[in-house]
Amino acid sequence: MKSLINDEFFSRLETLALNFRSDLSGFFGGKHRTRSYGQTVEFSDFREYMFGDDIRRIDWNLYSRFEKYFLRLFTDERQMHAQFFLDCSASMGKPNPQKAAYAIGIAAALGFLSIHNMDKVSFKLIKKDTAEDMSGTIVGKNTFFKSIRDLENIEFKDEADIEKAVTNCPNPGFNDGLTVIISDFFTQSNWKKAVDFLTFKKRQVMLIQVLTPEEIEPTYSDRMHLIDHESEDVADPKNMKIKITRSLQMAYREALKDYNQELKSFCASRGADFISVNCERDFEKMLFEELMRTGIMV
Amino acid sequence: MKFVTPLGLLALLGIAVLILIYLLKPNYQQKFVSSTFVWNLSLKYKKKSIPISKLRNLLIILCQILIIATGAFILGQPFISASDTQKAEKIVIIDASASMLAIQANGKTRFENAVLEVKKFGQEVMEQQELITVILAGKEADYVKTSDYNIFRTDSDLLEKYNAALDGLIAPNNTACTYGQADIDGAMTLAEEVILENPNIEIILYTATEYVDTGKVVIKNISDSEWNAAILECNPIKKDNYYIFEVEVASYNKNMDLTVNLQVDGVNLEEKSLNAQEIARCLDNNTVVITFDEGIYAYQNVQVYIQADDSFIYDNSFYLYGGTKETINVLYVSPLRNNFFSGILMGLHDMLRQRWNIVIKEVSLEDNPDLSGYDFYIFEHEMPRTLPNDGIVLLVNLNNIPQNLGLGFGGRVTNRDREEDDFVLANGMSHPIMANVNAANIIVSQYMPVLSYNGFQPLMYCGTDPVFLVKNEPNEKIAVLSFSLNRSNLPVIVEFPVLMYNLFDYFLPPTITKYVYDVNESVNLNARGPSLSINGPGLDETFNIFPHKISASVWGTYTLTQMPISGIEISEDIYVRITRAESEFVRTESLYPPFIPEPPSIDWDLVLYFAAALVAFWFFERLLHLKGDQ
Repeated sequence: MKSLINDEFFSRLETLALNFRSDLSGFFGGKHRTRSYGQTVEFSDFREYMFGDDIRRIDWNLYSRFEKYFLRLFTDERQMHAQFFLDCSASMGKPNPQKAAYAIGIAAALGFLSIHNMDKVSFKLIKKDTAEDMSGTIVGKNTFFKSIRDLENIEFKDEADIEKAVTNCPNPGFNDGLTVIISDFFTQSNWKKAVDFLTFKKRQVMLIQVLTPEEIEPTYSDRMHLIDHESEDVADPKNMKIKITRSLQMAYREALKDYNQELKSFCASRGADFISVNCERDFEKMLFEELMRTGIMV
Repeated sequence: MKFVTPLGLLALLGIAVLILIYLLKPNYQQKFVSSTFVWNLSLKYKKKSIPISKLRNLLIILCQILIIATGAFILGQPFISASDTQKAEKIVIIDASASMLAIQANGKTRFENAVLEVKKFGQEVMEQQELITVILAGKEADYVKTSDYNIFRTDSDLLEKYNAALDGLIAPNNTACTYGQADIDGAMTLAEEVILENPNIEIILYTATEYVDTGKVVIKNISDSEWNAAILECNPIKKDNYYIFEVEVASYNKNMDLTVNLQVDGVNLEEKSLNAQEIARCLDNNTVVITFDEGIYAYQNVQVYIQADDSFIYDNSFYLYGGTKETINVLYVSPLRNNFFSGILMGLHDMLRQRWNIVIKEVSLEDNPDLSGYDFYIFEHEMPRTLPNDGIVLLVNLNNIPQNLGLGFGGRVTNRDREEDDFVLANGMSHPIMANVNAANIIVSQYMPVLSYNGFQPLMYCGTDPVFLVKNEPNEKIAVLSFSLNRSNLPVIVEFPVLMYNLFDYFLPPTITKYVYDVNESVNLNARGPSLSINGPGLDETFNIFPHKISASVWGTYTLTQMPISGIEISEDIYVRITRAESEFVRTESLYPPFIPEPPSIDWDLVLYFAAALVAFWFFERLLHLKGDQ
């Protein structure tokens, strides 16, 4: 697996930042401006003085005009918690290591942006029906780079149940940041429930689908015994014997298109973002174009 | 269908390999994919497959087998040879020459036996589903036929007509076999018509004649033990005014002493006959010449015959005619007889000695000659009151005009006694009498212009005036020369004898040129009268247009009868003999077979067709694949 991330790449990312939703509350001490009022120098609003308010924040000029006490409110900057759920099933890595590298690269890039903006980062590896917290909550670049090395050594195998892994995650957070699920979403598990769960937790959600060219446009044809990498053996019902004809190839493309549309529509209905990327595409271009287009990265 | 390189068919093993591949080929090729999730989804999108797919697969396999098979055939270079497509054919030529009339041991003629053999052979050929053509090489080669059918490329469906046509050849009174020679060359030309249709033929010639073997014609010699004693030739040779008869005889296929008999009738212009006999020892098929010198200077007819019990009887006798020349009486009437006419008449007498016995009489009208009973009258200067009507009349320099001449003359035209003012004549219409006569060479100093000449043909002119005219009617044969020989240079130039010869030849043509002809030989007939009759074996005709050509197809004596202007009927005999070659039973002839092109080794090269089929199968297979992939 050829790694897509290196120091030069990270240095180019330093000029960017993740754009979180403003309604997130987050934690104290960060760089993300939120709707809540805080102690920054940036004026936000006025409100009437209430008992218990710090009298130092009364705007005396307004008092002279209205003979009422008004407080000056300032915006607050919070620290967010970015969680990256990485599908570690066999389908993500076995057939095409580039796909795995791509998925890891995306997680690492977004994670770096978070760390760089003083956010907390968690990498959660979806293995079977659990989300394994790889390095715990990462704060600071040193810890981050250590965890990146661990990330590059992930073994992609078995299946991954996104629904159970996400919903059973012990610390999914609440209104405190971004959750990114990186997968091909070629799974029977109900990923919709996972999105609903995260939405319920008021997390900003983003689904990134990583596909190989062969998955987008299968070139093989004729009679095929398709062995699913996630199948246990040849007799596994996941495997299928089909005669791939041009019409079936067209049907495949149509099915994939509809499936992605379903992903996109569902995410849109839940206020989540969805992008689908081809791992053959230049990684940096994809990152700067696709993610910036969604607005998650500014 | 055959193959140039049959080893190429080994490629057919490819079919076995293909079937083996189909048997061994795993039905489904294993393919590891990241997930079959989308494929499962896609099945819902897939159009329902048509049950014809199995048939399509079968067709694809069939196409592939056919592609291999056609490819193997192409390697084998297939072709269809002519022998596969065209039936073998037989062309049978039956020699219908006179020698085929020889009687064989079974009492039938060679010709009859040949026809029977051909009939049997044809039936065998038809049983083998082959075609047969039968050509009869008679006087002129032609296909053997019935009234409505030719035996041309006949197959077994027409066996009955075939038998009927051949039976017709040997029916009683049928003259299919000629007394002449066979037109073998014509038969070969006819055979070419069949060869054009099918070069896969065999030519069989049924004959009794030996032919040089060309390797292209199968000669079926049907001769057995026939022998022939023949009079091959008989020539009357005149020596010291006496005839010597040279008779050439031979006995073929048998050595024997032949008794040659000579019978002469009308010996030396008398009503008596003469018989003579000689023995000819004929050995080893060589000819023997017998000479009869019996002191004969004239004869009416001569018969030479031999008595032999041979197989071929038609050449056992020989006839000679023309032993007595006809007398042509010429009367030259002139008050001033000139030596030019006398000299030219004597010259004609000598020149035409072989044809006529010309008797010349020179008189003057003052002698009151009898102006009848002559064949040719010449009147110079002084004309009779009426012209004789029993002979040819030549009038020269008419001092007076006969009553029944029918010409109108003007006054004499004379030059002015100066030589440079002489008249030069010019040719008139083209005419046999003017052959080799150039009128421009003739100069006259005086002439009588002919003003009206109804019924005459002007042959020479002086200026615009006719000076030499001819009339040739059945009862009037007149030539008029309207100037005096004495006032012309004509007697001293070559045109004069030529003109006189032409006059004799035109008005007194020889009926025949010889007295012995071969069967089917062309005979040129001429006549001095308006008509000529010929009567002989199988021939009785009268002709009115001359010259006329005939040919006698049966041997024997033919009599020619005509009525000249003299009113005295003239009869002449000719003898039509069997061609000498037909009597020569041991002769060997050359044969000129038709060009038989070698049947091409490959008549229809099928490679192209198989290549086209291969492309078609390949295209069809691809199409099925394409349909299957959709």
